[in-house]
Amino acid sequence: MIAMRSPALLLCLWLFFFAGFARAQAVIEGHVKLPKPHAAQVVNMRYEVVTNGGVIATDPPVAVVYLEGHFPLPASLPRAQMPQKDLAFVTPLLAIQTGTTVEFPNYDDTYHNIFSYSKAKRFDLGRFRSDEKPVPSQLFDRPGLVSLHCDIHDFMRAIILVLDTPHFTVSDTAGSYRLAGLPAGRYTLKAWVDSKTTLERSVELNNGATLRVDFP
Amino acid sequence: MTSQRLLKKAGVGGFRVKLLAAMMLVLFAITAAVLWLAQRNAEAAVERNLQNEFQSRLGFLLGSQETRRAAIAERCRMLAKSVRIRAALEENDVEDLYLNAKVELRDLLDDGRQQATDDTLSPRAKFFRFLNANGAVMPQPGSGSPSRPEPRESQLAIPGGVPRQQQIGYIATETRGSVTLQEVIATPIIATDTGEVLGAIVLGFKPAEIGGRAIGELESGIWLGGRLQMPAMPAASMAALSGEVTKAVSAPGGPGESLVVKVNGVPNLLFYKMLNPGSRFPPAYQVCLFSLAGSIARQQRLRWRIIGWGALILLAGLAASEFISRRLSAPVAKLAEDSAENLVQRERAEVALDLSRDELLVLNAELQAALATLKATQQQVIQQERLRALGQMASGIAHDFNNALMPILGFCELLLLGPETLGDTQKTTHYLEIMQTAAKDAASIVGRLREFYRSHTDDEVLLPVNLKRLVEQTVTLTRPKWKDQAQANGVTVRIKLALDATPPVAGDESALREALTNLIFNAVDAMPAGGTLTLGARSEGESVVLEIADTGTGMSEDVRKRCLEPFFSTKGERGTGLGLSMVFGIVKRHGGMLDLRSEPGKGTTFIITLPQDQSASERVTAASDGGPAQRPLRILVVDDEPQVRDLLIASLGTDGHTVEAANHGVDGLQHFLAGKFDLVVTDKAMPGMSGDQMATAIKQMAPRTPIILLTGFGQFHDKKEFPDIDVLASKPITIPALRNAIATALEAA
Repeated sequence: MIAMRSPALLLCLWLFFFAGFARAQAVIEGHVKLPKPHAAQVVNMRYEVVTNGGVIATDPPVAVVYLEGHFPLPASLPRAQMPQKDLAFVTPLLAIQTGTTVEFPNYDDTYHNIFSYSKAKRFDLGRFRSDEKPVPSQLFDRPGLVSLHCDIHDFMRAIILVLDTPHFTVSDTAGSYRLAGLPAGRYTLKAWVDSKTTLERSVELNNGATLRVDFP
Repeated sequence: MTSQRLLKKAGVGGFRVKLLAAMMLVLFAITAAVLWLAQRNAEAAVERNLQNEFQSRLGFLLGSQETRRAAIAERCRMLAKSVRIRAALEENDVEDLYLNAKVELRDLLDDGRQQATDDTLSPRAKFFRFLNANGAVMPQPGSGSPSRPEPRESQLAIPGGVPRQQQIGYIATETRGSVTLQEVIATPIIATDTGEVLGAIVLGFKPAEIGGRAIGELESGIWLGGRLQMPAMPAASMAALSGEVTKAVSAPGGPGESLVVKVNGVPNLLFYKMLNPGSRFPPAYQVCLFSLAGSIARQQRLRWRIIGWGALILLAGLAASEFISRRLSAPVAKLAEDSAENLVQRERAEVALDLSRDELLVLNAELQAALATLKATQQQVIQQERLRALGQMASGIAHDFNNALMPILGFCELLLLGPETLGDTQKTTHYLEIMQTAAKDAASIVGRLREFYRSHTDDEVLLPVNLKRLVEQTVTLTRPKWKDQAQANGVTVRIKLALDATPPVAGDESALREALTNLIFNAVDAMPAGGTLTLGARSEGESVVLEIADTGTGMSEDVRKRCLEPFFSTKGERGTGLGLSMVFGIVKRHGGMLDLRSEPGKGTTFIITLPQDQSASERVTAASDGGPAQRPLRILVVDDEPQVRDLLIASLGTDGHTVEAANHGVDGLQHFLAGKFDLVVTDKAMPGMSGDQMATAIKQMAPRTPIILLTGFGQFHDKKEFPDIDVLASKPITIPALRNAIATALEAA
């Protein structure tokens, strides 16, 4: 019966097993304890970037959990996007791997002027409209936190967290996260909560095992 | 005697000296007090003026500072809104921070190119620095040009974090040995969304100058950290002055406002005021120095002037008090002398007085005798004069009496000549009424003998008189004169009446009628060729005016002047000269005025003004002749003349009274004793006991019985002659007059 299956499905199954065994996959899941939301809970659970006392975070808070270690750099990385729509950044918190190029498409009928004075990446796109060709983009080649502003709309804020790892995820607003497809070995697991707070744990990953790590 | 006088003189001299001393003392005290007050006022005024000067200049300085600070605060709010500034602050990116701030604040910064026209009101910042939220200076990358003084960063930091309020401070920078003061204003940059302090911007300015350089007396500067910066002051004195100010501002119990210091030996008034109270920067004081040299010189001059004036006043006072004391002591000295002399003179005078007293007694007796003789002679003269006047008056009375009789005779003749008119009751009654009126007037003429020498008195009864009716009546009454007689002489006299309805006047109706009659007669006599006689009556304010105008011959100026005099007549044998004077008397008696206008050939107008009867309504009720006003009374009538007695009985009976009659005084008394009476009416002159004697007897028995005395000589008597009589009435008496008299008598008793 199995042999009767289509070759495509077979290929898929093969790929799955091959990948699983050949890369000795491991999973970390857990929970990051997040600070109390800045304001009353926003119903639609979208989050925006705020600063308080010089600390940049999202509100409601979310964490970026990533595995630190030395991983081989791929030949090419997919382009990421930081679109602007309805006078807001669509993804106020974007985590990318170092070397990623981010496009800044403008879906509004008005100008935007995205700039950053952050040390990880200083740039100023100048004013651009939705029909700007090519779409303005920037290469983020240094790890760190990049704080984005719009010179025209002072309330528009976003963060790009540039990480030296391909293994990262953004938690939900409750703090739950799940990182899959990790190689076995000893690593440091980090949870970025805000610009001044990054929690870390040493982890040892075994093939096929699921590790549960909670950040208190 | 001489020694006594000397003694007195010495006493007087002492008095003078004491007086002088006291006055000088008082004068000196007053002058000193006034001068002292003036001096003190002047000093206080100088200090107050300087204080005001300082305050007003400082007020201007602080005001312009305030304006500047407000403007800067506003700019910093704008700065906080700038996304790039905020981003740079967040990232601690000084390069972008200063770059963007230079753009944002380009119009506030002195880039060395623009030349601000008014440095005080819109000054440009010499430099600016950002502080982070902790108050530490964020250093400017690639420090500014070396030509401009740059502050040491440590001076600008605000340890302990940036406060939310604007802070003012002063910093001193030294370049090439010279000290430059700068005013720095630290303004917090507050996030518009979260309200947190992101940092601060510090702007450095040239300190605002306190005004008043034009006035040479003023020096101003700023004290900072124990050093005084006063550009126009030599360094040596500045150091000393710095010490003084340092001592003053750090004095326990808080700094004062001013102190007096010596600069180069010249006293100066120094004011100081903190420029940045409540600031975290070190305190700085505005210092103003006013040289007191000018004001001291002025005060010196003033003092000399005051002293001069004081001396002058004292001198004048001395002279004045000398003069006054002399004036005051002179009478005293004279009094002392006089009293001695007086004594001698008095003794002499007393002897003389004794001698003259006897002489005087004799002289007095002689004088008394002479006076008595003189009085007797005067009495005789008066008597003669009175007799003469009476005789003349009698002739006048005869004239008027004749006038009164004329209508009676005239109408009688009319009736007798045409007996058929007797059948016409209306006409006859009219004639009879006229005759009655004329007869009444004749009666009152007799009673008017005294009217020339007697004016209006209280016991005369004035009744409300309707002038319109009176004039109409009189015109009818005098018809024989102006119509019949005139027609007989072949002339026509037209009568014109212009009578308004006037308010009544208080008066004697028959007297007024007589006056009017006289005037009408005169008018007719004045028109021998006929003419128009106009009679008018009208109200004028509080008065009623009667006008009798003829178109006759008129009067010459001389006649007009004399026409009111008694016995003056232009009619020769026909006139008595009493007519107009009687009119005048009547008008005066009524409190009125008689005026006349006349022009020879054109006619004469007499104008009689009579006062309105104010209490007309009251009098009408009191003296109503509409009917018997009294309740029925028991009345005793005493008269020796049977006709009069019967008339009285009849008229009193008509009014409902019960009447008993007696023939004479004694009879009356007997009746009175036998019966009971409410009222007695008696004649005066009766055989045996007269009416007034009987009245006295009755009053002794029954004091409350009212008594009316009737007399044919009523007008010659005064009621005061008969103390027991309540009412004195003249005969013949009319029924209304009798009623009136009864009412008055009842009221009086």
